[in-house]
Amino acid sequence: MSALSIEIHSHALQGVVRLKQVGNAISLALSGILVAVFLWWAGTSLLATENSLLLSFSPVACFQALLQLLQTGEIFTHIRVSLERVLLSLLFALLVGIPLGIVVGLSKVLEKATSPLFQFIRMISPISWMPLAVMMFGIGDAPVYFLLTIAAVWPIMLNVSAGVHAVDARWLTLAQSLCATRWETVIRIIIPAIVAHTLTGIRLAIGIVWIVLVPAEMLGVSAGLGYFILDTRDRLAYSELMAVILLIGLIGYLLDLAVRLFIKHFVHQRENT
Amino acid sequence: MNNLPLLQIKNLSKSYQANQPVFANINFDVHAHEIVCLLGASGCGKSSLLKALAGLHGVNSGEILFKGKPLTKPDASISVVFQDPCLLPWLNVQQNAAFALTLHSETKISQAEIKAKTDTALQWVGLQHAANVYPEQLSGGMAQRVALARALVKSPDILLMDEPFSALDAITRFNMQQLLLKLIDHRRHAVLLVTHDIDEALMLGDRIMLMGSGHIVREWQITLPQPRAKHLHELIETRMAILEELSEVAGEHLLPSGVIT
Repeated sequence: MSALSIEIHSHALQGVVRLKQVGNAISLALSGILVAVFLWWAGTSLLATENSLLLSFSPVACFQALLQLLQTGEIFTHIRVSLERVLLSLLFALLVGIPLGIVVGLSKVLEKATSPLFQFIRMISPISWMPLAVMMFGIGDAPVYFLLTIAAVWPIMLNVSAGVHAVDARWLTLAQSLCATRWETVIRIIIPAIVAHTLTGIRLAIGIVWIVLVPAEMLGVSAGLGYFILDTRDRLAYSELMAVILLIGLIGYLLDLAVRLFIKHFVHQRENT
Repeated sequence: MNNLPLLQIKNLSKSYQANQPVFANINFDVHAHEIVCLLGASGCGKSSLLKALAGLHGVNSGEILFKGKPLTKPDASISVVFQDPCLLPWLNVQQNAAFALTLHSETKISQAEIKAKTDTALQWVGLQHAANVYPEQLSGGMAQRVALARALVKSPDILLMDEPFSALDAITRFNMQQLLLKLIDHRRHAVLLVTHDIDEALMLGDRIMLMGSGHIVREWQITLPQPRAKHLHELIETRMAILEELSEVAGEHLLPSGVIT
């Protein structure tokens, strides 16, 4: 057998091995989900007596309710409103977090001055600002945006400032040797250099915002997934409640997956263009 | 022709702490179109001196005059080439080479002009075909050629080069040295090249200055005309003289007590 055919053969083998690994990972993940659904079903159906409240929490009732919600289209309004809130808050957080992260990352004095303060504020759950937010912004969308922005700004800001620290010192010397102004150094060197860090910050922020969204939407708004949870509770529509919980998890998972794939693709593309 | 040296260095000294000079009492001139090699062992202060001359580091005393005027910060007519090509990974070869021209928006130069100048610079270093390639895909020699194009694109009066070829393999290094000679012959700018390679200094320099422990120890004028690649044996005596002087300087540097234990 020639060396070339051995090489082709080994490449093909590698491909098969990789495919097997991916297949294994998917089947393991699916079996984990199946076990969870089975336990859910066992906990709600096997233990339930006839006419028990537990029955409306069962997977069967939940999936039926979900199908109905999707068919009537009612849920889409709430999903759209919630996603709008997430994206807009993320935008606000980026507008505040990126400049703040750059300034703090650039100035050692400012970093030392603000680090304990930021770490302190970061550890306060955004939900604790709720009453304050309502007092400041009244009832409506404004306090929700405030809470979500507060939740998203820290991961973005801290990742951006870490990115600024990680900028290759040689690039800064290069900019200096080319007589770049401070502003040009920020725009032409620092900002492109911190893209990967910023994307990681955005990913973390989306995770946090999605979690804070539901309680934040219980703040006197009339649409959104958080609102809908309270609404189903008030209507005693428990199967719909379970369907919305499932949907919240699913959308959160997909959002994270989308950002993760985007980061992977972006970093990969930058390395291989 | 104006006889004023391009770069004048007068009594230049720098120390991080008292009694620990990085370099001291440095005096020399670089004239237009001249190639001066600053030769010395690692840690002798030659790179720090080059950074000071580029306006990147301050000094404690002395004066640097560039075209007769005091130099305290980087100047647009001075280009620096570092040991590492230092290319920006998010820009392709063309954009990296054009980087210096795209700064300073107040000194408006048109996109067409930028492109024309960058294309010419890439042509000088033989990389016009790789304009759209990104730094990850370049070999060490190609990356250093892009760095050279980036330094040349703004038509500097002097190139300050800090061991620019030391990370390259012997053959690539030789090719880069020949390329540099060709470019200098064509562009007629001055070069101050820091190196620890005696042969590189002999191959390129009109003048070689040996540096040890922060001082310039000795200076040699090399009168052998270019191209020298095939006549290097004629410089064997100078090479030996440099080696002898270097062994003394390095001995002092490495064994301050003069005793081998």
